[in-house]
Amino acid sequence: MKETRNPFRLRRSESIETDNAFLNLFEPGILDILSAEEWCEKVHPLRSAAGGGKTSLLRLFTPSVLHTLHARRTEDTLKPLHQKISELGAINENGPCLLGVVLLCGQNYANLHDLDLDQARRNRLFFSLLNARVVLATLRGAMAIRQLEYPRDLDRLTVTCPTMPEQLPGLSMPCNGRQLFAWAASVEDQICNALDSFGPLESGALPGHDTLMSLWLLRPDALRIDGTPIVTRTLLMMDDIHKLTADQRRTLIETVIELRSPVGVWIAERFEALSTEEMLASGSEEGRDHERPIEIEQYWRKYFARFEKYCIRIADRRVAIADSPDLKTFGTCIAGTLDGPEWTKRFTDACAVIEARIHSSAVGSKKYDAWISGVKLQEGTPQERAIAWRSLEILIARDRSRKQKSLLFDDEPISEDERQEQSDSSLNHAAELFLAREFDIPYYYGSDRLSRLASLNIQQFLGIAGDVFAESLAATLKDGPTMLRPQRQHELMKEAAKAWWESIPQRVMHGHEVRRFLEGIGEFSRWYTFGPTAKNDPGVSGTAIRMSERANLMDPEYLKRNPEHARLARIIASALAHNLLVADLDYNCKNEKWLVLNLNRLLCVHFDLPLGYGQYKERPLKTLCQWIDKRFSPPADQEALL
Amino acid sequence: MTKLIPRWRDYVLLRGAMLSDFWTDHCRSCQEPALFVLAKSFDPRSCLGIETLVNSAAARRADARVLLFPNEQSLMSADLLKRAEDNFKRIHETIGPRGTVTPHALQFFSAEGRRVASQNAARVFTKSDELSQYSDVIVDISGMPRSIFFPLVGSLLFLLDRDSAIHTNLFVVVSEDAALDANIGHDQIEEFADFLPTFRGGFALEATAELPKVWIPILGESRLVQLDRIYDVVKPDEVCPILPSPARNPRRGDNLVREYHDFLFDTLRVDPRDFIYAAEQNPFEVYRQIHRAVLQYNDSLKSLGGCKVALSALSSKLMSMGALLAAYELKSSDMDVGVAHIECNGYGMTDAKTDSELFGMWLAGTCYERENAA
Repeated sequence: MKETRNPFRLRRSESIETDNAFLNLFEPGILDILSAEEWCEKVHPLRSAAGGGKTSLLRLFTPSVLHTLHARRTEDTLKPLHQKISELGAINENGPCLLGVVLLCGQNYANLHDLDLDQARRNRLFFSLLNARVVLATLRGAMAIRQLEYPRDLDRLTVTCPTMPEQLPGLSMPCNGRQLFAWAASVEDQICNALDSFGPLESGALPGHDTLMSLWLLRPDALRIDGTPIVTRTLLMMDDIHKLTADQRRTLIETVIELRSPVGVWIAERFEALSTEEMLASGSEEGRDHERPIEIEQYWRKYFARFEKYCIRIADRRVAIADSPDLKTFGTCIAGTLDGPEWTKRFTDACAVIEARIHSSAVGSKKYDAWISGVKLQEGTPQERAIAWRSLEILIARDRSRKQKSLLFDDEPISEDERQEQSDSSLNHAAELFLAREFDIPYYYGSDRLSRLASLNIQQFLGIAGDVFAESLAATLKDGPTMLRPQRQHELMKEAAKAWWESIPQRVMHGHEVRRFLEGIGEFSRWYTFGPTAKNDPGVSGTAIRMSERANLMDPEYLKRNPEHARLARIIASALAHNLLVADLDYNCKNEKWLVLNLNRLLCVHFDLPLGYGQYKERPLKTLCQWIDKRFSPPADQEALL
Repeated sequence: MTKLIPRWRDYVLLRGAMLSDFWTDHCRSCQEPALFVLAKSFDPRSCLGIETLVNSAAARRADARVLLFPNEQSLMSADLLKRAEDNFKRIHETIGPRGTVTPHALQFFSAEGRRVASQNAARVFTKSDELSQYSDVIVDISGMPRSIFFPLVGSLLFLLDRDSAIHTNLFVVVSEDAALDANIGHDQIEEFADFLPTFRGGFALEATAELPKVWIPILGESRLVQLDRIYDVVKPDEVCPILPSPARNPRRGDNLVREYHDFLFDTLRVDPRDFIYAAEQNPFEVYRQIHRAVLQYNDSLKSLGGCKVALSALSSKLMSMGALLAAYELKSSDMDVGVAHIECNGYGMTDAKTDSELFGMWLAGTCYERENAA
């Protein structure tokens, strides 16, 4: 393996060259996503945004990785992974017993759709190319699982499939591996050469197949080496399905289901390729014609605390392979508290400023005296005391707001107990956020918050953590402290958020509109969060629409009649596909069901927002549409909004 | 090492006043008309080629085939659309009574929204008869995206190579202005990169999927998203980036390395010894460097069955032509060389002032016939 200075930059599975390195970096927590009973039975769509971890999951079940895992099964770092894979039945005491065949479906297929041919002929070409490639990928996998040389040892493979409903044109069964290879390579070669030629296409001579018969050749009983079956289970993992045309994708899924595939099939695709309707439906149970899709982000959304720990374990593995004597775990790279004289002074000054503000606003009143005394007596670190003062200021603002609403002018002193009752961790979080913004104190630092900033996406986490690690690594060269200060962590997160924000128009379809829409959500959330009463503490980081409105956004007829909503639907779908928004479906609130649209947490950094999910303020569709073209501006009458 | 004498080992490359003088001289002996192939484009450079050459041989008959991109219009602002209209008028005025201007509508997107421009560009000319009535075909790529001119020029070379009875000369001209290139923004980059049709280079073949893959991207500024997405489709085992050197700005290569430092060294883990240097203003030098690198890699990896090479042109159009020539020639030699590319869906131009220089490349025709005969 070529040496890497910063292993966090190896963000894709395919950039990790060797199986050993892949296993060193693979964190088994993601395997919990698979149902132990039927993970390699039936047809399972597997979906995520780019960087969600699909390709790593697919690679794990390839023969060479399973062999390497079996060989290293006694190593402490790999024992948990080996155990999980054994429980899933992909490996036993003798080695791998699952033939995992990865097939990339990205290339050439879409071009078939553009040929000047009738649909039936195009489908036949599509199936013939797919059959050929399934066969070729299977042959390579079959050799690898028995650790034979491909294609040299193909003679030792025999292929028999008496139960196959139809024969593959041009192929006589039974046959050996070499004959099958020659047949498949010829089919593929004919089609690809014709497609890539500068000359005119002579489609009449090209091989056409009626359906996906190659699935039968993957059956464990169809493939034997030296007369012995090679595995007990097979799994076809079709990757990059999003690169097929919509028709081809539909045809493929329908065909695999109709054929009652004799082997397990994973259909892996990225969210970016889903239609607006599919994207808005993502995460729901509606209208399935196959097993429930495995949606990686949706899974982590349910178990976000587990995800955050998972991120840190991934980071620890990366730090370990960097082989720096001063950096052993990710925790050694980042400071998690605001200690030291600089911050003591900053918090002490903040306490004084806030206390003065409270006194000046309460001149002539004894109402809050008990509260003020209570906070004065409170013990703790300078940071805790500053948070207490800022919480008190929020509570006083709330009390005054209630008083104005009720038109009561009572000035009766309120007891300290009442303050204690109204204080909770959410209020303290809001106070911490307010302090950070008002007194230029770091907020986005520490391993908990950095892992939250991943927004349920591993690639995003590796990007953020990689920036931190790069600086820690540089510090080791200078013999300086390797633990990155909170201020610097905060700055790095702000820089990362800014760069990400600025790249949206380039990276995302309808990027300018998407960014204006997100800006509307972000500016609105910031205004709402930093109101004097800290409503919805610790603050909101998203908006919501009714599920009934979502249904309208998925209804083509409705959208034809309401083009402004069609535009909004397109923009929301694009933002969801790129993980700029994270959706929560069927969220119950106010006796209604809502689709909550949370900002990606890195965008929360851009807008100085808290990092929680689920705190939102709903807005009507009309307002969301307005944000696409016009910046959010705080309403003159604040109450009108609430 | 595999012996394959580069087709364009000796070449004709002219620029500025030398190009105009050459054209005046060349046209003196031409009886047949010339055909200009260019795009209706917002790019202020898109008419400079036709204007310069037509005015250098004012008496010569000339036709123009203008590629129109009807559904690309949705990607452009009103200002850019107006600029494209103005440029189209300039083409008509330039040709004037010398010949005819034939618009050729080229669909950018299929009915379901996929890009099909490249496939259509490869079919702008399908028969050699379309070329034989002209003694010179001049393709001005200044206003064409790479996804158009790669298959277009490739198909023209193919038609001329296939029919040895035709003696039509093929020229490519391009107005080069690095400052203007920097002023044209690329937004809404396609989600996924792909290989250009006719330049797939065997990357799609499952039968040879185990062959090592080499990626040779020609680096240009502000293309990180494109590089990242192309990397995703190529999935290379080796990467040999091409840096411009010599270049007008001698630090340009260093600046590019600095710009892509993390991507090159941490993500791709490029070995610094694998950088290839090629002259910024000589596409034939770029071609020669790529040609040599591909042959060397195939030779080194012979025991593994050879390799597949993906080229990506992310720099100027002038340098991109080097990639096109290498890909075309090596494809003709049955080598697995493809062109991996990604387009954007939105353009913006902050400043339309241009101080460009016209370059002309003579790619096929009589000068090479004499060379071959000799």
